[in-house]
Amino acid sequence: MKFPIGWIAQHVELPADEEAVARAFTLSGSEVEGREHVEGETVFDFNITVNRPDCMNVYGLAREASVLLGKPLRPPDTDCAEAGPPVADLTGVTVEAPDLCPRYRARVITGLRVGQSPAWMQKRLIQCGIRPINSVVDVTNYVLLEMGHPLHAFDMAKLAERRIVVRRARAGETIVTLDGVQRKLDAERLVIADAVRPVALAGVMGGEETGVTEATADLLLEGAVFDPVSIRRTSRAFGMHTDASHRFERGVDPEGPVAALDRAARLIVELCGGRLAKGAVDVRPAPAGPRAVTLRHARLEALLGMRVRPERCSSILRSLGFGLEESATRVWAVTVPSFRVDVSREADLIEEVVRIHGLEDLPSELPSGVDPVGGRPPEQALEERLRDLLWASGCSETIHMSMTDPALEAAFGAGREPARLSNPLTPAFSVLRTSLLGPMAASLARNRARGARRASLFELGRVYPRGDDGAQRESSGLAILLYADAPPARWGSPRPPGLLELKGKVEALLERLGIRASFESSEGRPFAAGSCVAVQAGPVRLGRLGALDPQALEAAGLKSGAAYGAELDLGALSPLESQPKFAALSRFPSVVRDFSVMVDKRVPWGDLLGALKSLPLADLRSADLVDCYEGRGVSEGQRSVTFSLTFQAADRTLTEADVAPVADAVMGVLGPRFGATLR
Amino acid sequence: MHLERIEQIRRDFSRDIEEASTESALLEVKGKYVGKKRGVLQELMAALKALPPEERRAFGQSVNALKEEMEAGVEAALGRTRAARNAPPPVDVTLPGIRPELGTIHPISRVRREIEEIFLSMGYAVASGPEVEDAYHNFEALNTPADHPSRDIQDTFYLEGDLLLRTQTSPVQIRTMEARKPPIKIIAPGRVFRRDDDVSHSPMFFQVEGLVVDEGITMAHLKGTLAHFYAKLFQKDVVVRFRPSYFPFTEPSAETDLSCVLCDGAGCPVCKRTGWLEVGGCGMVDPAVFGFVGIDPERYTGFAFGLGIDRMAMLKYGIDHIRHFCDNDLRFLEQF
Ligand SMILES: [Zn+2]
Repeated sequence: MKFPIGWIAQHVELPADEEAVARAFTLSGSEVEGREHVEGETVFDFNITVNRPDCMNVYGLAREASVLLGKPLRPPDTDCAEAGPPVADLTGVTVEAPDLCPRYRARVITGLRVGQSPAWMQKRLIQCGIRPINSVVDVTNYVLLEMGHPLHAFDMAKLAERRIVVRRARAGETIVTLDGVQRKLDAERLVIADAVRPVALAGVMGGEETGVTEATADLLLEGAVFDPVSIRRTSRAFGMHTDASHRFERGVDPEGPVAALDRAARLIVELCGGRLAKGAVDVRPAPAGPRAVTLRHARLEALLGMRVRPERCSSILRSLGFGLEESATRVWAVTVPSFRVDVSREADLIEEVVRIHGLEDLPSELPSGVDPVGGRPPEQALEERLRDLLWASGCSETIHMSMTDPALEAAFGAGREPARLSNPLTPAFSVLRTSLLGPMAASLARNRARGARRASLFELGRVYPRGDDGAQRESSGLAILLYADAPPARWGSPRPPGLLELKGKVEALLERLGIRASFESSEGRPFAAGSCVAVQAGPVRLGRLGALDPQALEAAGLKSGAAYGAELDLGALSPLESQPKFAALSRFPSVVRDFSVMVDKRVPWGDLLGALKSLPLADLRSADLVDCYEGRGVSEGQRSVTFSLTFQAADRTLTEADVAPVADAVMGVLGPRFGATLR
Repeated sequence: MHLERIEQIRRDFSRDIEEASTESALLEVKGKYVGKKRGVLQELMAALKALPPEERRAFGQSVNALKEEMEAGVEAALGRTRAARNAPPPVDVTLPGIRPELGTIHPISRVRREIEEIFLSMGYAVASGPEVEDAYHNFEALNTPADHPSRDIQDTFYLEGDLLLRTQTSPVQIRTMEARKPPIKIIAPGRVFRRDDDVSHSPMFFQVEGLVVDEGITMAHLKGTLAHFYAKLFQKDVVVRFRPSYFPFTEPSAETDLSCVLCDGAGCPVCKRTGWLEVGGCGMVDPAVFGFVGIDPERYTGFAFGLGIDRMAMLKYGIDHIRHFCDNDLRFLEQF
């Protein structure tokens, strides 16, 4: 919000050092966030917070400066000569919706000549970013900028029966506003009407037909107070954010219409001639008295943790326009000035004192005590462990938007209709992801386009699936994505990853977390047929992994290379995590026996392993795969499987005699069951 | 006479051991001199018996000394040849090392962890809440009613019903105070979403919310906490300045300005030559918020603060653009 410093200086004496003025404003809450030169003067660009509509005008800022600098405040000149007949003889105002319009005040000027406003006024408007129109409209805008109260001027000759009715619009009514747009109205909209039809959208914009033109001779000047919520709804419904609606939404001074109308009347008569009618119409069914708020000095010091002398507190509040009596108990009944619509509680008064007193004096202290819950919640602690295991195993962490592209989501997602943003910025970020892999694959595609030939990525983040009942859910997941597209051999580079490398990472992760899992053949998007593996802990599905379907990759923009993805549900992992449990170390050496068998290559290793583990072999500690080979030297359709069995007893050294029967036992099962032969 | 013979044997042994270059040659030398059967030493022992008793003692001592000397000589030589055989092959040490595959942690995660560690060391708990929030927790209970202009501060992404993508981590304050009573000392890091997208904003970014509620909590505690935190995070002396501001859920409210960590307040492009960095909002918990969660505002007071993890990461690592964080360019990720 832009105001020239020279205009503020008309109401309070400012030091020559503009930097010091800007700093004083900024450190008391009215931030000066920019400075520019317009029409030969410095204009400050203020960032006024929404709670301070009283600072959204020149006089309000001057009032702040007068408190900060200790200089007297000079109010605008509101003296106006009333040369016309009594206002009641010229017009009437009926407020049919007092809930939405607590006050409607009007003055009337007759016999004026509308022209151009003088250069000094035009300069002020331009400095504040407002285009001059004609002398009357310029005065209303000038007074808005100067005193903060929005005003509106009607051409009286165009008002049916020359009177005003403030009411809710009727269904089917329309109005063409000053911007030339016809707008359909309904009972939710508060309008200013004449005897027949709406003539203004109350507090937002006037109507075109009754606006002031060069031909206007008599005018009705409105200064009103409207319900902020009603103004905000209307302004948003029509997408009309105006200088008036901006202030009404934030709340205007209920006493504001008096001085603002007088000021505007004075300026109009000065610039356009005409006769100001005697008095003002003022419809105000239930005027609110001044608010009183209790301030306890002890509470102020306790909340701030800082000493502020009682006399200092009361003098700050008085200088800001608050009313209070000295009190021996240091408990003050503070009367709030009408222009401070934001102050209604003790905490608000404490803020007023401290923002003027200055926050620089606030001491720095550390509170004692710890949170009884403390630490990281288990699921986040799990995430941190996973993050460390993953980067240490060669994967780089990625972070993707939670919003994604519907086509990508369709190719990678859980299958149900994803949650859709009702106001997305772009279609590419219009639904919530239900899979982490889709956005990761899209990143991969962008990196591929930049020349990357391999990548090992992971993400720990939330997905947002819907439940069977359609309800919105949110869960934490881990995804790993390994990719290679004929990467050129480099010094020391490991071989390109495949499905087993991915499975190995997942196995190792789960082992480190103390989670026992099994891997079962599965199917489903986004994995290629026949290469999807479900990761299970008993009946609990921990996640899936597999080679990604080239069609899904293509949807992500990846046209070449092989990618392998895993996605795990942290909600399922977290309760299964377990501490390591120490197993006693045997003092006796272990004995290892290796076997090489030829077997039909369609027989899965898992089946062989299952058979080995079920053998009634005492002291068998582990059965480990050594090699799996097909090709030269192995007949068509067969493969050679080499494995080793490790035996160890807890109480003695095993002898040759102990392990001698093993070979027969092994082949006694693998032979008949799988047709395996010893190599 | 015999002593001369001993010296002769010693010289021969030295020469032979010098010449033996393999393990088997050394074993041969060992057999020749100290072998149990036909070793040179055996020969001397035989001579010993022929000596008069008065000479035997001195001669015997010399023979024994020679024997120990030769045995040790053989062992040492054997050790040297074994070491030579097991010696690593020569390597061009200027070749690059063969590296294990190590990944990287995203800079957002790195900084978030650092932030968490600092607050954990101060006795905080880490809390979290949903990213898809309802309007009540994201706005209403934070004293931001519908149809109030304070809602305009944050442009919001809406979903169906009254769901939305949280615009701040502040709803975690509400959820924590709903779930338990003071003392509360939490930080809540996480993703937040705003519907703006320009050069300096991303529609998704990362915040940390802090909340402390207990008896006797003051605004001075807030200032001290932030000063301590920023000094730890940037590992240097910093000045924290509070500037009055407005947030619906705190009163009094302040913006936190930090003396610029890059130029130490002298003025640089990052702080726009002001010497100050605006790092986040804070304030004393508004009594209205306590009202929503049923905490007695006369008994308890509290402070809350927020800060941007993205911003901290940019300052710490000198990252020039917020866009990098969600772009996942490998050339970016691999730098951390
Ligand atoms: Zn700087």
